[in-house]
Amino acid sequence: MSSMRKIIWSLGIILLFNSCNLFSSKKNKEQVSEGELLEYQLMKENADKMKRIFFVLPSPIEISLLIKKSGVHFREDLLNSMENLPGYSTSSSRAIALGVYCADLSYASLNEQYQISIEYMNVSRSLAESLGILRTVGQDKVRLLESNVTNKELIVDIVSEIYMESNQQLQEQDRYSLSALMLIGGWVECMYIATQSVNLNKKSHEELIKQILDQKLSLESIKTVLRDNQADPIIKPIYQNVLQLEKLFEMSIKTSDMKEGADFIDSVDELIFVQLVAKIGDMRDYLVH
Amino acid sequence: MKYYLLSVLLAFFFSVNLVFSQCLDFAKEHCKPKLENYIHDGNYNGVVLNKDEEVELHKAFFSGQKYRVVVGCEDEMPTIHFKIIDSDLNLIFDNEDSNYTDFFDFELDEAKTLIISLDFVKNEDTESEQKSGCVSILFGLKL
Repeated sequence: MSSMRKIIWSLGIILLFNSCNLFSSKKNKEQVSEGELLEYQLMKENADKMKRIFFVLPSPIEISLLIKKSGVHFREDLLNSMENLPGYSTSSSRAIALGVYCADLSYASLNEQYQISIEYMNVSRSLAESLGILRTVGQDKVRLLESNVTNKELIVDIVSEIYMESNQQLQEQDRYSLSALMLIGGWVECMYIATQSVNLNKKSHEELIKQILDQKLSLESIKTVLRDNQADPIIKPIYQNVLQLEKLFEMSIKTSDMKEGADFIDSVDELIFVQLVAKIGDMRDYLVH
Repeated sequence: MKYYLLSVLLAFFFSVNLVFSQCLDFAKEHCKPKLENYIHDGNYNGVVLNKDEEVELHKAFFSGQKYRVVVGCEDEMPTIHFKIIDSDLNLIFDNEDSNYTDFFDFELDEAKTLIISLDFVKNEDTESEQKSGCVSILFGLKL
């Protein structure tokens, strides 16, 4: 009962302070000049017209599909080992790992690696449960999968549902920084798989190189998601790394000394591209270990 | 007093979560089937929108991939108007020119950031007094 009284007293004090602020702002308004009043009205009009703007990251399914379509072979050694799972003991590490495993799951399922997909699906569901986001996948779909484990469309559909439900439930529970960590974990893992699969000297890898460098366009959404949660001590270094990555993306395409009709691959600055691959590798190391 | 305050807090918490869940369920049940043979990319973009509000989504789209954009809103709300422009403000699609269709299929020659803006058709006679409702935008990918 005494704690209840404390809450009521605290609320009372907050209300008192708020009313004081109201009075002081009223006094200030009386003192403002005509010019300031006009400026205030213009600002208010603009605010009234403001739209609700959202920035959307490409999902692990989308990037994994682009990697698959570029024609490179599946490599199991690039996946984050399931043996790392017991090491993820905090909510932050689990949220990152959930994004990472969702990316591995997308990559494996789109490459028709059914056994690996089932194993990674179980890992993802277990991580989601440990984060308290239980409503991940409809049981009817899981039962359908058990009777038809080689149905690629069904597996990808379940992956999409795990990703959507997990992220949405984190947001529902106001755990926005965990949601951001999950999204960034998925994006970095996909970029890690893509950059480790690529060989700059192979002509057949030109499409994948282009797809990797096109991800520069995703940085705006990534920066927005991270910037909104920069107060989180785990997110802050990731944001700094993304800013460095942005510079490497900008420098990776040569703007001068290009012959007319030259191939896209000739416009790629090899040295910078290698640095970009290394930076993504460092970011992935930071996230999974 | 204690129980009263607790019940107010609980009611607020559950009502916020209920709106979130309702919109997600709406997207899954009413919008996702419209993706048809496109696979949902896993992103959920849903929001409770007022009749006079506008929502804008910025997203990068890549070459070599066929996409479908599906929009949907609750039955009680007016028809959705949506358009797609690129970052240079070139109009790519406006559903007003296609009888307010709720989807658009496209493929790009080069990667671009597209802006999908969505609002409700103004001056439409709707019997409902509902001021706001769930809207969602889903993206599908051709495997």
